[in-house]
Amino acid sequence: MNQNSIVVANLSKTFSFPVKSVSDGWLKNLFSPEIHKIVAVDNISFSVSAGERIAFIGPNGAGKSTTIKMLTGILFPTSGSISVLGLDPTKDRKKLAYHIGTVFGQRSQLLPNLPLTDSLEFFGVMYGMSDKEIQDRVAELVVLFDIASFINQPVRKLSLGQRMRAEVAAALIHRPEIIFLDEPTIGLDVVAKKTLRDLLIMINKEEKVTIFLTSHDVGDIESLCERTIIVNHGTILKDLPTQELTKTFAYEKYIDLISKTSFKHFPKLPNGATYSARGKNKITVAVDIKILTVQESLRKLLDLFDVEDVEVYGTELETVIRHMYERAPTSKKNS
Amino acid sequence: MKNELYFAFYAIKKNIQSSAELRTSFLMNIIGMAINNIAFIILWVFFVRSVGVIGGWTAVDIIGLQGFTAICYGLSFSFGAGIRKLPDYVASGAFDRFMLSPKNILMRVATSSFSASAVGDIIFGVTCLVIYGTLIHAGIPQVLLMFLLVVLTTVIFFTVTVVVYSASFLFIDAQLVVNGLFELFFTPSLFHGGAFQGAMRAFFIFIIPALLVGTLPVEIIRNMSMGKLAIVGVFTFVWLVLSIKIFNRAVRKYESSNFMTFGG
Amino acid sequence: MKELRLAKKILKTLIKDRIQYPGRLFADTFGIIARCGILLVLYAYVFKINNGVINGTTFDIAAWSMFFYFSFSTLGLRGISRSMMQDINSGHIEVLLSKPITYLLYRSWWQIGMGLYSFIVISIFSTLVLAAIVGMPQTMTVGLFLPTFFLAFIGAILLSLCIYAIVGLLAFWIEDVAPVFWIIDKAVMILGGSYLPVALFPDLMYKITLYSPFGASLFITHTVYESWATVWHKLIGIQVFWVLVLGVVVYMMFRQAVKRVSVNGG
Repeated sequence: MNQNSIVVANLSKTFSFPVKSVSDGWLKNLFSPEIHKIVAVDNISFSVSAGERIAFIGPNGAGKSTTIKMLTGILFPTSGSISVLGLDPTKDRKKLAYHIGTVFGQRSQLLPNLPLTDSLEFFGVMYGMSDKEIQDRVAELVVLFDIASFINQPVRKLSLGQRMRAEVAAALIHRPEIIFLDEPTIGLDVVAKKTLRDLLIMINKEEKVTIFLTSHDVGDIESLCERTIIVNHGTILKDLPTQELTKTFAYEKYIDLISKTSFKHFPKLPNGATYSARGKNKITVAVDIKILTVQESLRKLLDLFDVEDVEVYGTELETVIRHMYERAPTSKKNS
Repeated sequence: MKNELYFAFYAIKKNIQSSAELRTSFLMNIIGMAINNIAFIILWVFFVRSVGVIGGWTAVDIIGLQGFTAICYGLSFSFGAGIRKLPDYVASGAFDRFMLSPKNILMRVATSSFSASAVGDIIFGVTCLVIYGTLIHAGIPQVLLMFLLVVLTTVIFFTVTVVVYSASFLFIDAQLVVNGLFELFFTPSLFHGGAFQGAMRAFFIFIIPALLVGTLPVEIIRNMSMGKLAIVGVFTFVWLVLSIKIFNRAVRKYESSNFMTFGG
Repeated sequence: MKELRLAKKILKTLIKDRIQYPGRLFADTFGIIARCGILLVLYAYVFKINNGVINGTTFDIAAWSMFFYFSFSTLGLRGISRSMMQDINSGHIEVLLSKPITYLLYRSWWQIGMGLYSFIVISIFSTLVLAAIVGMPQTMTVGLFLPTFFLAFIGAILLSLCIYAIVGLLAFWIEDVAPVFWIIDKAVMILGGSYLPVALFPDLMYKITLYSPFGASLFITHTVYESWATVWHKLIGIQVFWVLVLGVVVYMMFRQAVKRVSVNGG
């Protein structure tokens, strides 16, 4: 059994901030404002084994970035405990930093005006590598990430896809045991996304690097991560293998009806079927197969509508995740 | 033209509203800038105390000098603060949106931002001129001259700034370069005017117009010098024409670049 | 050892960057000409019409005193405030906190590295120009001058970094730190002997200069005066005192500040 590289127990984080009250005067707002608290992370617990590839996802404001930042020692928890590679990020931030790599999709850590080699060497020295180690490792990364063609270009002249490959390479210069990635594929085209995902899978397999990823891209989750943790409102909704996610809504089927001429009327549907989308040329019906079988629903729909074509399919991962987000508890402890 | 001005004032109003939302910061900026400006008065008053009257300039004239330069600076950069962001707009490619806007580009750029601290400069400048006018027992003609000179010197100040910042289209590392060029104009304008004599004086009137925005106005008010007023008037027109021509030429050199955030 | 190696790497990398992109060098050259150059021409005239002596000081001494202020300014250490403010406001601090570095040291070396190339080039060149035009006062040719100047210079670097780091760290507590920066910066400017040489200060102002950290951060401007030979140990002692006190303040502030980090995004 793999050792745990991350253990989180009863972790919580509350942010306090002053709020200006419209009814109070400016002076009172300045010296004695109302304090509001937001519980960003609420008593979460999970563990990650060495070598796992985890997607840590949730809607905006769910608490996922806050959690990652506590794991890397950037933020201090309000309560609970964290152990990353046996170290407490709040006490041993610098020591832990030698063993982790971070990639923030929307923030660059490279030196913009100088060639990429300078950035890689810079980080090599930062991580205490000898000159020989840096040289060897840069040569390795150049081959692994196929960055030879632009390694001598100033970073600010790279395309976004090239830059993200460079960012990941820089984050791996010191052979970390875990790499945290915050939206690494944001803004990339489909080819660049696939390239980056393949690289991450490769380094996970060859260098046994644990991958901890947050992303809004369903493709990242499906192709890259064996396990998905879904958070919303600061709590964990689901923690399961990615493959199992789609099965969660396996009882939902979708039927697309393409019209022969055009759909003018939208009659009431049988129990167990609901309109998901309605248009002149196409209707999408969601069917709960616990109530109505596919065969029965098809028979009834074909009686109701004049169709040219029919397509039946199961729930896509994106829809599954959206359902999860929508299902989340609405109340939150605010004060 | 009327539409352009209307939109420019609308943009300024929105900028002010946006700044004033952060009320505490807004006020701190104004107060902080006023305190910041007092430093130069302290320095030059102590200078006059140590070295005596130079070129006819007394400690009172220093107050007038700081008043004029502060008002020019404040008016130019409260309502036209966007011009100082030009190097950043050009380097990041954000200048695209000004090119696509159906408004005069220069006005659009200038009014794209508002500086709360520059309001502190205006308040400070007005206070200095009121004190200066009181101390020299200014008559009605001198007060009227002050109003006229505030308008003329602000135009000079703003147009010279436009010329300097037009260099943003020429360099990659433009922010630093244009800031340096701006220093060559702005810093001497804050110096004791009486110490500028001979070739130095001519250079800083006719080549780099630093003395036009503070020193000459003080001397015009003090001595009711119409000759110097004519010089200020002529150069206001010259710099206005020059700035529009140079800016439009420079815009033609514009090339878009991609936006990325970088840190150190 | 590792910290020194990283410091060396930071300096080397940034000097390389500045050599390739000399915009900063141009800007600093314009800056020193605009401020110091023009100022010295004005003072030359002022001293001339006062028979060469004001407050017991000659022009050459006043010139070198002011020159040391402006030359030191090209190192741009005040920029550490802005860098820290930007790190905090933009959230870039999260990138730096995830690295195995001491943030304060990293930022300090980075700030020195950003200005070092300009500082060296401009200082060497303008020292030669000033020596050729004004000559060197006798106080600068005595054996004591160079070692004590060096000590005061190191003290100036450390104290400037402390003062401006304190301002920068305030961004963890105050939304807009710019007004605080202006006030502190002006205090340094006035008490440092910039536009008005220290010799022309009134008595009270001189005392404040001696005992405040703002004045102490620029004791290099005092090194050229005759009195330096007798008071240098006292002034260096005052610098050391302020470096220790403000160093502790910076450290304590940072320890509190990291607990206050809150980054946007869920």
